[in-house]
Amino acid sequence: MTAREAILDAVRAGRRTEPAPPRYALPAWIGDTVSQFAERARSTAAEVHEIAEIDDAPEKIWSILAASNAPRSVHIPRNSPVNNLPWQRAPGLTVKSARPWGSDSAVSFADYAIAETGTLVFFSAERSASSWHFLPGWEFVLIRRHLIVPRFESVIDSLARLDGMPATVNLVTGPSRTADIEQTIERGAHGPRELCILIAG
Amino acid sequence: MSEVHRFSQAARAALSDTRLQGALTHLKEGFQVKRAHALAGLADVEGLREAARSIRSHALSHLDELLLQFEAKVQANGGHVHWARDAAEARDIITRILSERGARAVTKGKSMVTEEIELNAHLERHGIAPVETDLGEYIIQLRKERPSHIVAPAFHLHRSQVEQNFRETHGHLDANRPLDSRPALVAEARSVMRTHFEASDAGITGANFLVAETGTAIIVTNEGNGDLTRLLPKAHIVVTGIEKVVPSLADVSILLRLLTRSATGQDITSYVSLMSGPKRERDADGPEAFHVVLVDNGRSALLNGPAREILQCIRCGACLNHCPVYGVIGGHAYGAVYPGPLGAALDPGLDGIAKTYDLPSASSFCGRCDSVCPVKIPLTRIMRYWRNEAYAHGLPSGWFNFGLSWWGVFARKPRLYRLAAKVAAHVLRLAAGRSGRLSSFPMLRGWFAVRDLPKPARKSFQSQWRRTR
Repeated sequence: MTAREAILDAVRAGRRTEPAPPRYALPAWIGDTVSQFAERARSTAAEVHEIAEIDDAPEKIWSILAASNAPRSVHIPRNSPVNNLPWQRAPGLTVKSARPWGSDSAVSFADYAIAETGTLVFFSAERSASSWHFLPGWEFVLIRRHLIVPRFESVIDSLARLDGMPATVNLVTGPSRTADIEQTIERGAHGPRELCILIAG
Repeated sequence: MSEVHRFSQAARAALSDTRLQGALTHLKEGFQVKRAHALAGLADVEGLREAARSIRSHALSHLDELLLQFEAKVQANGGHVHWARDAAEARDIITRILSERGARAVTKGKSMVTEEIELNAHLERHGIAPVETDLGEYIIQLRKERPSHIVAPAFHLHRSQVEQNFRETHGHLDANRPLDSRPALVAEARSVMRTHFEASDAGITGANFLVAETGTAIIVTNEGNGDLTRLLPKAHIVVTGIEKVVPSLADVSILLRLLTRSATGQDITSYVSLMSGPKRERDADGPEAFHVVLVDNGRSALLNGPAREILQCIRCGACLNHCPVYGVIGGHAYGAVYPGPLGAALDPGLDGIAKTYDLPSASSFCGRCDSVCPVKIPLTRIMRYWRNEAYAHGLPSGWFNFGLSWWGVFARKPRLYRLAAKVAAHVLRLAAGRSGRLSSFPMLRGWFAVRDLPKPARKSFQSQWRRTR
């Protein structure tokens, strides 16, 4: 008998008749998703800005980097639509396609954002490099207003409409952190120390 | 030396370990207060707990179907599923996957199941170097210790101890660098770990949940090391227990709301990652190979017995954080992979009652663990079951159980018990003589070694109660 058969047999011996539990009814969503998202994201130490339109992102990013005296360069994955933004409008900013490392800055589009928890959602794809959400020291994330949904449940519905699951879906809430030394929170354990969200539109 | 002595010795050593006692004071503000605050932000905690319990319980009742559905979905996503009856089989499967790929350097995300199967020592024996990348796990790997807490593995340590380990291990760095602050230690771990990630041939992580409907393994983390472990090397291996599977992502969403609040008091952790197979052909990055190793190791036997509900556990650690016994002795004294009430209810099923019978007895049955468990596991009831099992196996010793049997004879006959208590109280009063207390008695040296007994009152509480009520 293979291990698979042996385990399944043993598991079947422990089968019970148990009706499926009723789907838990979450209370109806009230309130504005955008303001709630911003409030929740800020509570996890993310920085949140609103910009009038997505094309304003390059100048905004330049000014944020300049204000904290950080290097004026950003990393963008080769096939990302972030490359199509008018980067020429921020002439002081260098755009690089190399993988970010250490304290580099990177820019990405989120596929969705979740208001309940202030969470960004990224699907792996040709245009989207999953590891880039964990490699830079500073990540700038662009999210369009209409993609901010109330709860993770809405994202699950969108995933069900896709042709199969993406290989990786990352839910990102605030910067990377650890409390492994003396139960005290320190930022930037492995992933970004700073997470800056720009809400557009 | 018997295990009972080992446990009680370890517990006694823990009580006089001042550094450990200092660390344990963090339990309250670090875990209890944060959890209470986070749960207070939920509208319907009890409704969610019941929903979470029924999701887990229903999944366990249909585990065979869910595992098969999960397996089919992982395969459809381009991944591989392996089944391991026990720890040795799991280790062999993982070593085979690694050696077929020629992997020498392996990075690991946090996984209690790989602790359970003692994977690291096995890999090292096969010439493969595993590096734990979760900061807490990395620290205890350097110290050759076990995790003392399932969520915060290095919870028992002071930063000066971490500094010492880093100085010893990271010999290539400037010996005069300042390293006495937490930010400096975290920054050093980050940069050292990047070189390990770059050199890694394969990544091994655990899973908090498996989703049958989509063939997805989910990890819930704060550091991001688990994600780099999956995404940077060419192969990703998930090692987890067979009980982790639930039907759908909607179920995970309910469980997640309680898991993170119960564990660290966060509404959600920094990272929740849904990993469904290897990278798709045109994806920008991700692992080329994806394997899931499903480990039984005693779980299927538990499923068909009175301790079944311990398999509902989602490993939040709230029962450890609120346990008065864990709170004074920490995790290592338990001498098992899973400490605290969760361990006392689970370890006998994984390691056998003969090695673990003292753990279910390390409880006052105050029931705090039952009341904080997000999936409503009756932990004290399961511990009581294991105590009965120990007794049925003649553990801890014939003499102990002989005494317990006699006590049982009296305890089950209230009149006889009261009569015996009256006689005993009289004898003890005589023995105490004029002094107000008793500090020794024949055959009870052990009991009196660390405590005195006040001289019993002339009339028992019950007889006074009967007279005056």
